[in-house]
Amino acid sequence: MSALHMIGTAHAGNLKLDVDLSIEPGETVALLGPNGAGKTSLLRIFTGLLPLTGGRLDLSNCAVDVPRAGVFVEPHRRPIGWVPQDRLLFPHLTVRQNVGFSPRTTRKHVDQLLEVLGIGDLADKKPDVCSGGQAQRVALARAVAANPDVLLLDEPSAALDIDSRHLIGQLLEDRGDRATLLVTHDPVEAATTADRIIVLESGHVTHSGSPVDVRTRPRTRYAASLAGLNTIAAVADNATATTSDGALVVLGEPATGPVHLVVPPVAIALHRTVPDGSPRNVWEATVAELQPAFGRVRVVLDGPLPIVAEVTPAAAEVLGLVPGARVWAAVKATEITVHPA
Amino acid sequence: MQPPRPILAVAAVATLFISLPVIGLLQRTPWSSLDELLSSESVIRPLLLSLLVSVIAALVVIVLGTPLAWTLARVDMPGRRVIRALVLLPMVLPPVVGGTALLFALGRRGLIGQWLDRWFGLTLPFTTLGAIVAAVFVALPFYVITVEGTLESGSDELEQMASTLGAKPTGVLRRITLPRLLPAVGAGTALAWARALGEFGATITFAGNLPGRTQTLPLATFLALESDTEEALALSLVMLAVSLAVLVPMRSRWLPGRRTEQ
Amino acid sequence: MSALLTSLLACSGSDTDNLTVFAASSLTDVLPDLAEAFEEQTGTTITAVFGGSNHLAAQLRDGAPADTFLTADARFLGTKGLTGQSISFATNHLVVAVPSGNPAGLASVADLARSELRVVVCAESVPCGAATSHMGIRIEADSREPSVRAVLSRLSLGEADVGIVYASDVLAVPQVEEAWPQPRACPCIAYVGVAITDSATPFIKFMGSSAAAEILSAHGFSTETSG
Repeated sequence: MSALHMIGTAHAGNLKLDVDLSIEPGETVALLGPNGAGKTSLLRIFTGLLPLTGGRLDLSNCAVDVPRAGVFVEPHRRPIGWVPQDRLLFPHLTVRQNVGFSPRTTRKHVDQLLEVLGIGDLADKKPDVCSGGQAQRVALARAVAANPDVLLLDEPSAALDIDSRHLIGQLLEDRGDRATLLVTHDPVEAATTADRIIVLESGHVTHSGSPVDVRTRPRTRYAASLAGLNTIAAVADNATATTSDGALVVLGEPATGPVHLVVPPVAIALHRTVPDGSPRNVWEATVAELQPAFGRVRVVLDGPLPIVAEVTPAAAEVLGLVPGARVWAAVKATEITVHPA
Repeated sequence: MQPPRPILAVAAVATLFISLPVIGLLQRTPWSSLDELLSSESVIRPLLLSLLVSVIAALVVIVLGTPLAWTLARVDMPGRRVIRALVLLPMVLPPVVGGTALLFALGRRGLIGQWLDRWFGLTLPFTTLGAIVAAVFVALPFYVITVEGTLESGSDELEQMASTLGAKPTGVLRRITLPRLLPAVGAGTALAWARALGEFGATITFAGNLPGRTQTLPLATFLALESDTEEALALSLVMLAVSLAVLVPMRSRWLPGRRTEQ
Repeated sequence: MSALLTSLLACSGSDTDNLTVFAASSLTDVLPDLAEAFEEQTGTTITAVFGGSNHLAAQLRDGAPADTFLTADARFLGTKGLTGQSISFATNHLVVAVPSGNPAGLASVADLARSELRVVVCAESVPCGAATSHMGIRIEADSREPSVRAVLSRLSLGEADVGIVYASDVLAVPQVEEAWPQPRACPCIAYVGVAITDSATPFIKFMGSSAAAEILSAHGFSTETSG
């Protein structure tokens, strides 16, 4: 039994959505995608605020939207909790009244949630006195109080303070059978909180897998950029490709026409002198910037092929990498993945 | 931060401009004979009639205006702009023109009026009901724009949110839509009532002028001005007092355009 | 345009090419003809402002710039400044009038007491209203209009069944007629014209001339020559 299962199509303005996805009870799924991909529209389909044009949507194994059969369950009858990006707290009710709004909740549960999220002392105030983080917690408490089978969060951590992030994170952990779908544009958040990532681009699902899967085997340019991989636009001509700056890159697989070349930063080797080895792509570059990260250093390179390489801190020291230093970069043709543009 | 001097100066001039006529009125008021004047029939009768007409008109406006405002704000239909323009027309039309138009429509020989007369024996001109109709005609737009403004600024996102939380449509109406609307309804009613109270042109053209039946306070004041200045002043003072009694306590945040905080 | 401009300037309008005339509204139809004749004679044009005599008197009291005042009630001549040369140039009688065709079928004064009739008269503060109340007829009015023109419009629109207006009005408005043949008796309206500025004197003289009397009679007014 799945908590949410959709194979269907819908129209949202100019965008046509054609999606096949499912979420299991207890699972936390992150929905990633560029602006305009249809993420918010998908949430509206699940809540019942946007109808399907074809296919079906099932929630907790019950059909809630089947256009062909004339089945449509109204939003108020769906076991869904929704926390929209702009929260939509009821301005004329107090925090407690907001959290306890759903007919499906109990006073006890409301008190518990107020406590857990640290908003107990705001209980009798109106939402206009809440800070951004507090408002987010209220909105979340309100949705959770309704005992949904599926919780939909739209950009829950956008511009939140540390405390709020922490408390919200805790609440989401404690979920039982409840499935959570979080829409986010932050791949780090997705990777750290979700069991699975779904990537939505232009109304279609392009990836559905664990965070590691998506990061190491991106299938689209967008996914690659999420993973911190280099993507370079070029025009391929069989065994080579020419970038917009005029650099000639040797490819590992033949291709023609406009392409995106994906190069993992770790695949780029840096040398102090001209290397003599098997890599077919070798060029001289200048270090533009060094970005230290955990256990590694990202080296931003200027030159005929602007690119980001990644080395260990020790290697950076040995090579004497400082902004302005001249280095030789090498990358094997086989390490370059080619995607048609 | 101190507000800049020029702005304060102009604001002072504007305030003076508005208050000068009121000061002029108060200055000429025969304070010593005021007692007597205010209790005379020629003041009490139009006052009571005005209150009756304006209050009933305000109630009719609420009943007719609320669904109209809701439809204009929330229902996406063709011709919405045209309907909105029509609804706002009485605000721009000179009241006498409005009254004449009402006559052509609802008078005894009017488009609809002739059937009212023929079938039901109901005529509106020369009756108190006619004065109420004239007042509703001019006051309705004030109510509609106030309420429509609030409904529109909210759109129905909050109602949508409420339904995802499990509230049934009647619950949504009762707990979200109506409570949020209440301040605007109050403000709209006050404005409409004030307009109805001060209505002159449409009333005198459509309903006519007869003490006790159609002679409201503004009509009585107009006629008194030419024959008995003291009476006219007393009547003006009464209108001023009644209007202030309603407008002063009204919170500015309920006026159209202001965000309704709760 | 220049006429408008000069009439907006100083109260002592000594513009001999144009005169501003404040006139009782019952003179609305006859004054244009009188003005035409006067212009032919003297070359001076007339700018007319019509209204209830009481209303116009109030405006003159407050300093409105007019050269002459043609009032339907000599009472209003008590107003400050109206002491120039004056002349009584016409009288107008009140008649019981009905929409043309007499749809309510009135035949005599007694019919006025019929309760289902819509009766409209002038308000007492206007001259025609004051005169109406002196007629000695029992009237249950449904409305007291602020000007005789308003009474006329009620009748011509068919909104009122009967009203009391001037004899001159019955001639001027085709949709209104005399209810039954009535004698021209008083109480009646006596028009008085008074010059406010000196330049208006020729006009006042003209109002007393036989040329003016002819035009006035043609419009239903009574003059000394016609009785």
